Amino acid sequence: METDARTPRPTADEARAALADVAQVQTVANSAMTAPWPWWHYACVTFVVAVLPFTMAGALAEPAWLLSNYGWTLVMIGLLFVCAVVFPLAALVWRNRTGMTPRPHEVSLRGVVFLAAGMAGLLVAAGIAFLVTGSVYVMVPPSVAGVGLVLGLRVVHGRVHRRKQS
Amino acid sequence: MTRPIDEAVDGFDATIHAPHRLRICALLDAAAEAEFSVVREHLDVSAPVLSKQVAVLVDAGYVAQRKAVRDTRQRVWLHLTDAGRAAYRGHVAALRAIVEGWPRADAPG
Repeated sequence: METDARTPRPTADEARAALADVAQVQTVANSAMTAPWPWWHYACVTFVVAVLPFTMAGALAEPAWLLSNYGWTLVMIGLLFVCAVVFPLAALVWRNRTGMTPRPHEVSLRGVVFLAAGMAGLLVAAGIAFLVTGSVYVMVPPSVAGVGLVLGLRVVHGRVHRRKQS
Repeated sequence: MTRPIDEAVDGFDATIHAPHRLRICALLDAAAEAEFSVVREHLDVSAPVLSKQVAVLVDAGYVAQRKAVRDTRQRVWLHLTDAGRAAYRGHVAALRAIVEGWPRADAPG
């Protein structure tokens, strides 16, 4: 067995073999962690992002539609809560199934931050447009754009994991 | 003045370099946390061997372990500490520097 303090530095060929070993282990680990976000996670986030602008219109509508402004605000907060919970829940389900906790990739994290910031900006702009025009149709573009952002995030996430495996 | 390649080679870590321990660190670097039996399966080593190598990494402050439930049973989960991740990455950088800085044994001239 090796003796730590006296282990000599490896030769170039030994270092190359060690790096190949590392690459092989990481390929196996990455393939075990491919696409840790399940379909229901994306379905849930897509639904929330698609519906959120309309709940915001409901919260701002004068006179109120179907629910009171307060009721729509509660629905909106509930949807945001669901969206916040679904991320750690997906990670927990994955952890229990595989015995490995996925480490969020930097690109995926940036994508989630971009989605959150993008949706917040779109909602504010659409809310102002709704207050000015009073038309619910101004909520369609942010809804469609939000769904596009989620689908784009899924594509980027898939590519990142494929790249990690190669 | 030291050359960048010398600085990278200085990251060589004898504790990590032992084959099983290098593979353990590589696996734990890819995942945030992994269950003991999953690490054992992935690395194809026996539980006592893994236990012994993990103990060395724990003693060095490179790996931490905790108990948590999976499939209704308490299991041991392993993860790299910040110091362990830095040491592992420094070690891999040192290996790369050795490969890039030294001529291949079969290289002409």
